[in-house]
Amino acid sequence: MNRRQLIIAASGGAALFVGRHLLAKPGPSRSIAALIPSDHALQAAWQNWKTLCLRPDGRVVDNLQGGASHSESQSYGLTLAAIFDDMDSFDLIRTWTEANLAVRDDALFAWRWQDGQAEPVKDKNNASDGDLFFAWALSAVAVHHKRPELGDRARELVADLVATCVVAHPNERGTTLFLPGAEGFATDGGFVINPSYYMPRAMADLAAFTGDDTLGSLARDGSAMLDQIAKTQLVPDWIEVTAKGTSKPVPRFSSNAGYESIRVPLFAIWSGATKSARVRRFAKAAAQNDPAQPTTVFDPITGEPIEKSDAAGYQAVAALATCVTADRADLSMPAFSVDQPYYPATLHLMALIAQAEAYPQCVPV
Amino acid sequence: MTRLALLALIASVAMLSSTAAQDLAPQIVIPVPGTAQNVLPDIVQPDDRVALTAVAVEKDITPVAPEPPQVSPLIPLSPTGAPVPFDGPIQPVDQALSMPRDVPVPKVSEPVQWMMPIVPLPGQAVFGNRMGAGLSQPGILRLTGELASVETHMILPEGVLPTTELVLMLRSSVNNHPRDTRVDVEINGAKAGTVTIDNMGTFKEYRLAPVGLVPGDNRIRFTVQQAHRIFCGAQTSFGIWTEIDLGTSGMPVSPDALALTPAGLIAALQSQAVGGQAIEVLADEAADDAVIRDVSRRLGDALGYAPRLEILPFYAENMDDTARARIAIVPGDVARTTIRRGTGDAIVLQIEYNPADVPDLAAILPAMDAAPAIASLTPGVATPLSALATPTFVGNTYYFRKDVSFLLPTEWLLLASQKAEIQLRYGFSEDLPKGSLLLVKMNGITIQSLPLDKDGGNIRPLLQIRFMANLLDPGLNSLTFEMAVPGEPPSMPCMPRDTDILAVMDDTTIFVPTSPMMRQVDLQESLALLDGRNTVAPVVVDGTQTRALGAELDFAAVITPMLTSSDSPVLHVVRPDSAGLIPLGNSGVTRRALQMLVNQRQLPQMAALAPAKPKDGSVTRVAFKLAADTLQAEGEGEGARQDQAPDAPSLMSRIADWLPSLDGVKGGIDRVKASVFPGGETLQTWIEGKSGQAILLQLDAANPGELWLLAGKDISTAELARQVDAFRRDGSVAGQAHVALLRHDGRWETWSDNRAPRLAEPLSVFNLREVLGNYAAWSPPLFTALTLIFALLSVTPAIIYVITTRRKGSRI
Repeated sequence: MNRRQLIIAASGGAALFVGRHLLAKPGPSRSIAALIPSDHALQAAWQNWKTLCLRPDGRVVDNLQGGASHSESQSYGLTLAAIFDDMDSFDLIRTWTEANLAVRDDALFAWRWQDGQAEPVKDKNNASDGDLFFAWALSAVAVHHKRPELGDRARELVADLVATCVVAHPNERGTTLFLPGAEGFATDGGFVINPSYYMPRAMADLAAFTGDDTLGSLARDGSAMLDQIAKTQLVPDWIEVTAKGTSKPVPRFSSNAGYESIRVPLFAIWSGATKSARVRRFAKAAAQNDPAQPTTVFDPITGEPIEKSDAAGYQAVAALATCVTADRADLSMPAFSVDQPYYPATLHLMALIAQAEAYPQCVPV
Repeated sequence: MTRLALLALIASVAMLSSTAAQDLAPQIVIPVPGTAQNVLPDIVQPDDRVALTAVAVEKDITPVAPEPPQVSPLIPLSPTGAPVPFDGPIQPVDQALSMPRDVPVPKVSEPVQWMMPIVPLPGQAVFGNRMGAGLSQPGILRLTGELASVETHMILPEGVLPTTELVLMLRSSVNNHPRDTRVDVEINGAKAGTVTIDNMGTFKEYRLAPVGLVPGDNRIRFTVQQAHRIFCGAQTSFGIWTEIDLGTSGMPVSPDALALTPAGLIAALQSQAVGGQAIEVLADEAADDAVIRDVSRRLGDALGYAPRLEILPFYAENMDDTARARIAIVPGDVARTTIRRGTGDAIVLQIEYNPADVPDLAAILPAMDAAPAIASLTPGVATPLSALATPTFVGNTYYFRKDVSFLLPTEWLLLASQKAEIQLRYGFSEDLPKGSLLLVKMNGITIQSLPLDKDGGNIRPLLQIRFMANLLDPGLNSLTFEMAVPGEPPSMPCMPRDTDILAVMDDTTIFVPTSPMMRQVDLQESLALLDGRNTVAPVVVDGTQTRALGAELDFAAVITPMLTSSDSPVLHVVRPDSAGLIPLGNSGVTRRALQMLVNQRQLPQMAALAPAKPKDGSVTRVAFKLAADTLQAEGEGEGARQDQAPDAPSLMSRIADWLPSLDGVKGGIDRVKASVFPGGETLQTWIEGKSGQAILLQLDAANPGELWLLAGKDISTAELARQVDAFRRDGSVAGQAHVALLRHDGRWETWSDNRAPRLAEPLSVFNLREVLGNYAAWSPPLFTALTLIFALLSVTPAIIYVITTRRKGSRI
């Protein structure tokens, strides 16, 4: 066997490895582009979401933040537009985002745009989940609608995301971490991580799209880390990771299991990891919910409620989790409602999409 | 092999082997003492045996035990290079901390209570304002007359203890005497209390101690005693009534008290539907119609009445969040049923099915006792009322009516002068006012009028009542006893009588003579055979034919076969814009005329628009022409084109059309046709000037099982189904009917082309007389003509013989 043959054999083994992992959960899946057909009943929910959140100029508004927009809301909107195959909205959102948040020296987006300010973008730091979802939506539409320029843009985003927000675990065992932003999340000997920024399906899809498995392995590392946490407690909003392990971050970061970490089980379910500890742990806590007032902030250790909400989106995530983990569904997902702010409304729609795609038995009834 | 290649190969093999054993990452679990491993010990542990790092979120950082060196899973494939250790500065991070996600609002909600409803037993109350118990509108039970009672039931699920009072929402007519309207309540055979109603016009809540209520099925009988406040007598009986609002009466319970069991589901379904609210059925467009129909029928069987169903798509945002029960039909890999909580705490029956496997709903929606089936009467045998499920009955109101329904075989037919007979044993009170009368009717026709104002006080000797057997129909018939007793005096209020007025004994018999097996199929017979599940509602939208499932469900829920037969009629329900689908055959009627019939909301309006109709019949065609032109101008569609070329008219019509100007000749032909073929008024002529809510058609004599119902846009299919059911159960529809018009006043008007009877058995000397009698009665002129022809043919050989054998010169 010559050198070339060995390299090919090694590459083949690596590729097979990658392939096996991609087939495992999380892994590449059906494209999200046009995932919901034009005649699907959920299209009405999308139209209502747009009425609630999307301005005619393509800006996705989070009214609870003084009418601000951020890369997260823009990228969530872009992803939803791709899923509902609403190309008009897709291009509106994309154009506005590129015009207003693509102000950094790299390919990533500034994290927030504040309405009514002389300088709408004061902080040019990025939010890695926004960049991730944006690239995910672009890559899916690029393939589905044969728009290669979108694919190129997605590759730029992935490249800079990997360069700036994917770091080696401080324990130096070869695993990686996903920083919430390019700047500001390093601590003395570690990093502050937001577990809900891990979206395993998006990462796996982008790894397959770009041919760079960095995000794929990042998804696997992150899933394993979060499942390990979930073996003993709810995944909190923020954690600090050092070479010695994970711990509570400094107090200004929430260590409850609240509005941030509710996305952890949602994204895991959406990625097909219904049997993962992070979903089961959350489902067990959510099963104690009063359906009319689901808990939005849990004590991560005891699972006791700290804060509740009547927003239907939080109930939707809780009901979906309890449904996919149980043999019998006791809680029902509510139908989509615009009577809630941007964030729970968006989670609500995402939960309904995940349900419609893979869990028919959990349909809102 | 170089060192580089060797390392790469080793790495690949190591990775493959690790993924075979582990799902996500190939590291080894390292238990760390002191971590919060058992904080929530009851969680199901995932299969993962992977730990990247020890977890000590709630505590300070815990030292990690040294780990053995391992092969890194990280393959540096990134074109931008492998991830690098981050060495950025520690900076304040605000974004994630300053992102409010919600405005928590403590929700203060009033405790919700559901009413376990009171439901009339099957057959106890039908729609309509009638003497006794009836549903004056969906969910409103009306008890009419001086004395009226109704048997109801209430299901209390196991575990639901009747800790609160029984709530009754009641009101009486403004005609009722305010102090003399009493409702006696019996629960499970024991007297539970009496309510004296002091409110007229509007519903008022009354409460009773729930004496005798038990978990499970409870029987509750309401008996109303009431009097008119001004008048007395039969004319006033209809004006006094008391109503129970079924939707708001019953036993209040907490929704949580209903378990997710079949009993809890049925209780919730009753609570939802009894007041007339629809039960939402969630299903996608691809849902199997058969499953939905089965659900519809099962619901009807389980509740004892057909609930109104509303088909909604999944994800509908207009779901009723106050609904107490709902059905969801979900395609799935496994056929199963689940009872779960849904939006607004509703108890939801979720049915998962696939094309090869549909769950059996019998266990979850068991059928309750159905209304007694209509008894069959055997011709040639004197049958007592007791054998027709009618025990001795008593009338004690000034107006009284009792219908005794029975079925004759579908191949029974007597049209001639044969006599049927009733041997009536009855009695009445001795002090009844002058003018008191009992009418005995067969299918709406009075066959005997019996005065009740003399010789009363005992059971009368057996009375023989003979009547024409041709008043009887194959299939459903109705014998009616209708009594009217004047007030004494009628202008003064009177109290309900405390003695019985009329008694008809159950040994009263009915004798119907036998007949040859002959059929004269008409609407009534086909409707008696109809199973609502054989209803199709074709709809043409943009040239494409689809089906209106909701309409089909409404009929499937209401219409059950009254007779069994191998023939299975099909009812097609269409709206005017799909009238083009109706096969008109040789009926001579145009689709446009039918559309006009059901599109007109009020006849007077249309009459006002139409030109005055002179007595001279010659203008009739012009008036119709004008109307047809107007409509054609309004809608130039396929239907309009079809009107210009109605389906093949009959030979007689063609002949008549060839002679349009010779009205006298045409009139003569029509008269001959009418006299030879009874019922000769054409359908087109019959419908002219009429209007209605719907028209039921049985136009194809060769396919009597093909029924078409054309309905206007103002009537719901649920109401249509109810009206059709009432029509087919109405024994007073006399004679044949091949077309029936549902008028705006809710009454049916029928037309028949008087189809010839058909013999269904061999002709023999034993049946010859009755068979000939039937044909003679069907068309006397035709029968006479045929007889004459036959006589002529019979004597012709004799005449020929006489002529040919006569000798020349013979005078004979």
